[in-house]
Amino acid sequence: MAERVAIVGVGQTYHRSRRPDVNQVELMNEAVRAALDDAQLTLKDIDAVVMGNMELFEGNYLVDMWASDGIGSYLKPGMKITTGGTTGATISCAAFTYAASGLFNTVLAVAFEKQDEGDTRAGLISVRDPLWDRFMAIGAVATFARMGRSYMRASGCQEEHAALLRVKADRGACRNPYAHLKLNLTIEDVMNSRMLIWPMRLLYMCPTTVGAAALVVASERKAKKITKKPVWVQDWVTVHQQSARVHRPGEEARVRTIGVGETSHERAAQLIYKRNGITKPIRDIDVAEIYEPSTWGELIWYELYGFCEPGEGWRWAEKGVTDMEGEFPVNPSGGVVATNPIGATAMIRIVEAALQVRGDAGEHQMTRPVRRAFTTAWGGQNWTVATLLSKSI
Amino acid sequence: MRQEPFVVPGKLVVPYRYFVGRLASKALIALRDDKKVMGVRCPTCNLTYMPPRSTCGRCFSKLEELVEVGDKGTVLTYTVVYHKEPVHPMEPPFVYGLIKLDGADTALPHFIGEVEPEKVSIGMKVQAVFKDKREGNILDIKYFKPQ
Amino acid sequence: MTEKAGEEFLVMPIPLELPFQWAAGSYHGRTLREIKDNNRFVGIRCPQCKSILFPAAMVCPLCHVKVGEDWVELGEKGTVEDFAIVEMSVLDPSTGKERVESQPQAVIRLDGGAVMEHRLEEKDPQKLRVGMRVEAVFKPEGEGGKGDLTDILYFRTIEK
Ligand SMILES: [Zn+2]
Ligand SMILES: [Zn+2]
Repeated sequence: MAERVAIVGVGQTYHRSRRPDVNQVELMNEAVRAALDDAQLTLKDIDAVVMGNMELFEGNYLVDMWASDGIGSYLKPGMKITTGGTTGATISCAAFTYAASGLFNTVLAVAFEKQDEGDTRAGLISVRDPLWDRFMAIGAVATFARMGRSYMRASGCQEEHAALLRVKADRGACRNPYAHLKLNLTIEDVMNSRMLIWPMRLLYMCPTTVGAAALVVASERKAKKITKKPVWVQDWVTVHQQSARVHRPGEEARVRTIGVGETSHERAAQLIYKRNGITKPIRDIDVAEIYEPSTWGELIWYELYGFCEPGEGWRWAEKGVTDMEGEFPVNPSGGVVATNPIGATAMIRIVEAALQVRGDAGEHQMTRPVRRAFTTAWGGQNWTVATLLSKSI
Repeated sequence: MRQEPFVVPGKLVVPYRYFVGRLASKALIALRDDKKVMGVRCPTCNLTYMPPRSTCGRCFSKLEELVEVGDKGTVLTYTVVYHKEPVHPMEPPFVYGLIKLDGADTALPHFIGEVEPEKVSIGMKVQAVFKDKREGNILDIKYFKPQ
Repeated sequence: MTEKAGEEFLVMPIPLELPFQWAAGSYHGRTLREIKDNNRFVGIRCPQCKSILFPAAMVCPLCHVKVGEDWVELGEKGTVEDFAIVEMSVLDPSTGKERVESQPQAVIRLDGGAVMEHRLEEKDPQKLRVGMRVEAVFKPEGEGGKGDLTDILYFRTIEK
């Protein structure tokens, strides 16, 4: 890459289940204004705009065309990106790549979802093959329930361990002014919440949220002029994995991740660790903001990201390793299980990680210094985006 | 062992909804309740947008000043639809027009009615015909007819 | 940004109904045609890695080689690898209506080696277990014949 890249401004809306007071464009506009204010820039300083959301979650298409007034893309270069759950991270990566290429100095990235306008379940079922498994598809709830069952059978994990992590997420959300669900949960509250599909209870699943996020990204020379606290984007990677359509006799499908072979989570994490000399994440990374649409995913993915050893995820939950005050904090913001405006969710991970690196997260700021933060995103059942943010180059 | 292509008919059916937001709600409620056609003014660019929007795409100002643009305007351009399609809102032939209302600087797409399609012309002065039972959307204007 | 009491916000319904014609292609199409015409499951074997592709596909996603004609009958019997009782309903985009899954859902490994998802006839949670043997029950002649997995009613327990 020709240029190093930094995040110089971040913004997000307050997250709610309904926002009848704004249309989609006005929602995006709130996040854009917040990010520009944070960077102390105006639209004149922006060279390109990348935006997107998830397909089939709202009833209108070509959102990039609808949105141009509100996101400030009028007569500016840019593109729309839509990659399911990873959308917000892919948009961010596109903005990083734009700035790193030398083509654009300052790039605005915008992501949103207005889930009060569509039906999340129908949107997610439409992901499945209409000529194969759509007829009985349930969506993400079933996928994560299946992971949870498989993980419990294989590891000795009990439901209590998921409940511990859900309470941890809620503690974070209660300290995060932007979070959607702030419930002051106890373990009992969680374990008494409505069963959807064993072992998936309502509270282990992310809510349907309305919200937007935005980033201002700049090349090194610009970034140093714009802010005293640039957050350096050390690396980013996107990885796809195998579909569930390949069957090897004798090899049991890894139902906890779906499909055979190495997962996109494992490959993405290993790639980014190797390229950046990370041999022990718990030592080399100060905080992680991961994309966990369900608490069951969080438990299992500690292992797939290589944070801990295989089979150790639930023991981490028991020991509180990933609490805000723990040895390896994960999602001090409250995470996806508290706030999930899908198209924007993966960008919120990057926004929150950047705030931690800057020391600007407020009540949910980590007390010890954050030099390096790791973020992830997950789409469908088959792909991962990971980023590494850093205080220094 | 090739065979004929296997094609399966299917469909996507989802009941979506669209929130128009605070500014457009105010404008459409004025249309519904008082038959007032509202635009929004950008004081920086000195332009009045119809339909209203809450950010000026040119200067990125926040727009809040709703102004009445009136129910009379000029046909900027038009097209006559002669063929029948399930998605068409009425039986052909009918006329789509871009109408610049007298108080606005932008054009509103709508129907032109009560006139033979052959007699519609660019520059023609038209006036809104309102529905009796209005619901708070732009079709509360049935169509525009010659003044 | 907040709502004031009594303020009216308008919402427009946008009912969407789009018709499609989905082409299965010759390989996936063969799998579907065999279900429809012969009530059997067939996949295809990759000539390089020997994985079974089910539903059949033209290219092996693992090694990117074009498959040949090594069709594999997978059998209509299998073993339950995972099952779930669904206690929620979903809005099904194929119909626009709420769908309730009244039968348990299962991941079934067919004896021929491939895995598929379908429903189980057995509803009693006490009688459901991982490892149980099941077989596909197809719709009676004249009632199915769509050429997709809804031509199968469910998988029923094979009594020992
Ligand atoms: Zn203006
Ligand atoms: Zn192969």
